[in-house]
Amino acid sequence: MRPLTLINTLEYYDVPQILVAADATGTNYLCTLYKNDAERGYLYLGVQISEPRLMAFVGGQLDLRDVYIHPEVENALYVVTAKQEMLTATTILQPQNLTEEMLPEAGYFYDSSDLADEAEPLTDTYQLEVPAHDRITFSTLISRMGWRASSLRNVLKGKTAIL
Amino acid sequence: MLTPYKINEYCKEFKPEWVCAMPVGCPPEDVLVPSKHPFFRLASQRYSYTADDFKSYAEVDSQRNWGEKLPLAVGLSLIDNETKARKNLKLPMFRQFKGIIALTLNPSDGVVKQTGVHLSHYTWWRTKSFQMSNLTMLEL
Repeated sequence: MRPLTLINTLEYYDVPQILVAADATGTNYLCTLYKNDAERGYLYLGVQISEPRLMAFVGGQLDLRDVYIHPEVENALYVVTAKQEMLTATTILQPQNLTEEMLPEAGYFYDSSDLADEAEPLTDTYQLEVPAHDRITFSTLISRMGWRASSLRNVLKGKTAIL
Repeated sequence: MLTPYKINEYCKEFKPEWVCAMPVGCPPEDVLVPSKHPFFRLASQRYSYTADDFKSYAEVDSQRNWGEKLPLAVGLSLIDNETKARKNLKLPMFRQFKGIIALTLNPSDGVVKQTGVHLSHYTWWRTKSFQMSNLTMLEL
């Protein structure tokens, strides 16, 4: 049993449907609701997920089903319960034990285009110095990751590439 | 069309009879009053809907202590974007749902407010005046 802290709700309909939580070590869990259980509370399928992969999902680059079917490491899948405001990672699941009722259908790509202002996914801002000759590679990376180039334009000055 | 209202102004003008007892501060002070405004709600069957599709989580899970979330729990989620509503059917909890109800709300049906993380998501505090008859199910 591993207590988790809610970091962000990514999808809401009647109750949170997709959320990001973290354990005491800072490891992120992407959790998708699959059942409302009378005794155990809301049951989420949780997967430990790295920051780049999480950002790829939030950026609409990664199918939600693939996040669960192909976790990054072994023993990354958990049943996460939510009851009385407590989020807990409980049972470890193996990919072969996943059932269809737990999984999203293929083709769910997160859409951040109509996020409410106060609901922006958590982001970090970096100041990067990218050599001008890497401009194309860098802009391709930004595009593939779904990052917001507009926020990067402000910090790319002087000898660095201006996108 | 959605028109901003103060809830006390709405209550004074339309004298709503809510479907359930509203907790303090609910609906919130600033709301939107719909007038011929289209929305979508997920239904548990593909070709028809029932009164259960309009039960709030507070009604379904009445023993739960909802705490600060009670105002949202006594409301119903609506989506004002058909593409988004169809996409939500891919999520595990919605896979038990098979249909999408198209609604057109008017002032007597209650008030809404954009809530949740997406601009297309609204919470609807429903009145008893809302008529469940003659609603349309989208073709999937």
